[in-house]
Amino acid sequence: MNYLAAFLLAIVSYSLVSNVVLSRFYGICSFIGVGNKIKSAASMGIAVSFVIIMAALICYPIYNFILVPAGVPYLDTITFILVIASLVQVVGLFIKKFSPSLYKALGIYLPLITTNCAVLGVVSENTASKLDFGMSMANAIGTSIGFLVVIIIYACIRERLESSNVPKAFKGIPIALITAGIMAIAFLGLSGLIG
Amino acid sequence: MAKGEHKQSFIAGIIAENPLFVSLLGMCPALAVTKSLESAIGMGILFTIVLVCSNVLVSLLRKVIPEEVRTPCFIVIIATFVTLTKMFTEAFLPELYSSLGVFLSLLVVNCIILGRSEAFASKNGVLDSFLDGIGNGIGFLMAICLIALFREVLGTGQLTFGNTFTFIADAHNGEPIKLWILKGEGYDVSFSIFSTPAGGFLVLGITLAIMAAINNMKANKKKVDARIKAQKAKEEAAKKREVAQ
Amino acid sequence: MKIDWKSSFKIALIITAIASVGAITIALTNVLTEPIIKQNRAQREQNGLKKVFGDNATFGDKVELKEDKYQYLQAYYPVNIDSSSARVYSTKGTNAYGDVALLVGLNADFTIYNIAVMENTESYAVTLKENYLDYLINPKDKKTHEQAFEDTSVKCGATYGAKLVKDMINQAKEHYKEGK
Repeated sequence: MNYLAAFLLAIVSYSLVSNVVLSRFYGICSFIGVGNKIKSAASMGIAVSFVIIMAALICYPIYNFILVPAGVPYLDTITFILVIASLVQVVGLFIKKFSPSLYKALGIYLPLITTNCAVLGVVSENTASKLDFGMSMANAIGTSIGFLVVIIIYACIRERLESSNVPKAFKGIPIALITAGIMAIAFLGLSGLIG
Repeated sequence: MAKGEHKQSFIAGIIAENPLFVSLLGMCPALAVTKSLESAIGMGILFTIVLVCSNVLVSLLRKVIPEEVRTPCFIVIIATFVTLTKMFTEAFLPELYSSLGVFLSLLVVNCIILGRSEAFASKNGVLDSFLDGIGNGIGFLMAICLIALFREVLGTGQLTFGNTFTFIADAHNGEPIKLWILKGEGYDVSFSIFSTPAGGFLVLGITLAIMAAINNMKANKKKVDARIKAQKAKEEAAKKREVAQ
Repeated sequence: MKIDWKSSFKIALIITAIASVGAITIALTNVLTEPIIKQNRAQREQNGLKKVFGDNATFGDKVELKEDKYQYLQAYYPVNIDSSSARVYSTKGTNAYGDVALLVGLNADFTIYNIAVMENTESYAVTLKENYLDYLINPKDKKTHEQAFEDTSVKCGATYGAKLVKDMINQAKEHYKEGK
């Protein structure tokens, strides 16, 4: 029971306290580029979440049961990125076959998930901090939840921003970044949440 | 290619097509390692090394790599160079390695390196790719140093040299060099919000807004000048017609 | 789906070739740099131990710790200084703002002998260092390290970093008191 409590607390910690976008700075390019459409933001968030969880699930045994016993832990970066690239290809093929409308809605974002820092970042963190399997999955699940929450909130805010009177120099990306900064300050208030 | 065009691809990467400020790529390391000026300089140098090496290798192999799998091939080449850089940094500059943390591994999926490989190095010769790599690298280095300068000065009130590059501290009798700007004996007007992750977003947003404002002023000036010229031309034409009548 | 075996084979071959060349280069570099890395780490530990206890102390063998109750403690060295025994604990803690790693030297009566900072990558690293860690290492007004640690009137601008440091030192003390 103690481990389950630690697992759930870890999920909350990784999703809110050290939020993937606003505190750890992964996945910013896709975060800023998603624009103001809530539906496409949600679908991209779900796709990224799925890839993060599957990548963490696959890379943990590969690192701990293949690379480390073979004495080559330094080949982790190459192996992880190849796994992630093939995973994204496979996920794309599946989506194309089973739901062509979702595939069209995702459009350019799907191949871009390969270069999303969040996926490689979570997997690298898991190996660098030598987390065990439960904590690695807590990291992955927490990161996915955090990414979804933040990206949907951000899309809603940016939708409102479209119709407001922004000074000319700030139009577009600068005001989007400052909005993200204010969200980061808000999430800073959650930092004492877990012990 | 003529010599002028070589220089063109080099200079373009620094200001006109600065990868961070104009193309808005590679923001993840730009916000994460700019807590202190030293780690930003270190990251910029390592970034340039990886970019130049991978550009040159991709350009050498551009006839061999098949079209369908060029992205995975580029990624493998970049990952190799990133791992080599990581190993050398851990061996020779361990403080820089621990301050950059996981973002050194994340150079593998950096949009700038992948973008330059795909857009430039796979289509141009070795010398141009080399110059393009150096140009973009210097542009990125200058951009993140600018952001780091603001974040460190505003956030901690002082510039510290010697925490990450310990050879500076060793040359200065073991203590890092500190330049006190917003902080000193008895006064402290630094805003520590800029040391937090939120500060990164704010500094980058305000910098981009300032650059957009400067561009707007330049564009306005051009428009106003063009209008004045058109006005003058009309007056000249009207005067000529009067004289002719 | 018709699969073009010849071109697929060629593609797979090229990727494998590039990946293997990369892997071999990395392996060779590893052979070059691994001994240097190990040496650097050992050197840094020795320097840290010297910073805590000074030059005329002898250190015993390192004892690795990996208990769940003491999650910040990595290892300890038994120390012999001025003919009395002591211990120095190597601690490392992480919170939402970054990592802190300390070497905590404890006397036989469980008071603090000295502290050395090995790693400080918090967001508020400079604030933590100047307002709290420097005060613990060089206390003003001729206080001892233990008095500086017990002083509750210290104002530090990095609350969570200071709490982490306090927790790490307290854990080291608890472990020493248990006498294991």
